[in-house]
Amino acid sequence: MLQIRCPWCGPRDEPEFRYGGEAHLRFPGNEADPAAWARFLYYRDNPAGAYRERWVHTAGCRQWFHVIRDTTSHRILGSYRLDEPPERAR
Amino acid sequence: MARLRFEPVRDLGALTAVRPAGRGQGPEASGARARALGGLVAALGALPGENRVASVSGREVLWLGPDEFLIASSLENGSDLEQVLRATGAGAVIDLSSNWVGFDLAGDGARAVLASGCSIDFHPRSFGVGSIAQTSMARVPITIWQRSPEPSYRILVRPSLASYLAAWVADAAGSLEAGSLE
Repeated sequence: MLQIRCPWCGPRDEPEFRYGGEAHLRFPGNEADPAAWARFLYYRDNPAGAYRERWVHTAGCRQWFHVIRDTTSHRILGSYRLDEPPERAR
Repeated sequence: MARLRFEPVRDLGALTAVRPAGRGQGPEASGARARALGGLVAALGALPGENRVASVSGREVLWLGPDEFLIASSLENGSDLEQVLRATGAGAVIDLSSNWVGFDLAGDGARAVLASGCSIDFHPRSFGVGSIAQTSMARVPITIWQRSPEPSYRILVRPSLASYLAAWVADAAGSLEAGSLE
């Protein structure tokens, strides 16, 4: 089981959270062409290593936040609030 | 040390949730938020910090998240408390008095019982009087806060899960020999 540090509540077990997919996707804008929309909606990065993703603390404070997880080892490298840059992850 | 006690709270009082106005970012939102929090402080006397409970004369203000508080009051009934909070213009206010069943868990072995069903650290160095957490215990969502150094904890649980949780705690207390329940 993963232990994830909620930026508000502290370290908690994985079942308290829900996963929200890749973080930092950019809304393409209403006027973007279909290819840009397809990229935004369906294309996801799949790195072997550090991956920035969204999680929500459903059993606790119900806040969304960001997690950096190593996809090869499942290690949680850090987490940070939505209004913080990835460099603030801890 | 007192023996382990686990009992339903007969009179839980009024429980009302508040989501202060001014969510989001920017000067407009932060101004609205400052006014909402100021109104709540004026009405309640204090607001808690993160993961804390503020107790002021018959009312407890529970921090549930950065944009949500739960106010537990023995001064008034739920609809009166809702009116008091609405009058501050603080944001979204709703009476949840019927939404929760309360238990008090206290005395010797209380931490051992909690540790067997709940993964957060209840050692005094990280969870003391006035600490609050929303977490799960025996797979049941709970809100728990410490009310005295004895230690004594109050646990809120959904009514439909209360009898399951009570049975689970009685079983855990027995198997841990943490002291039989009175």
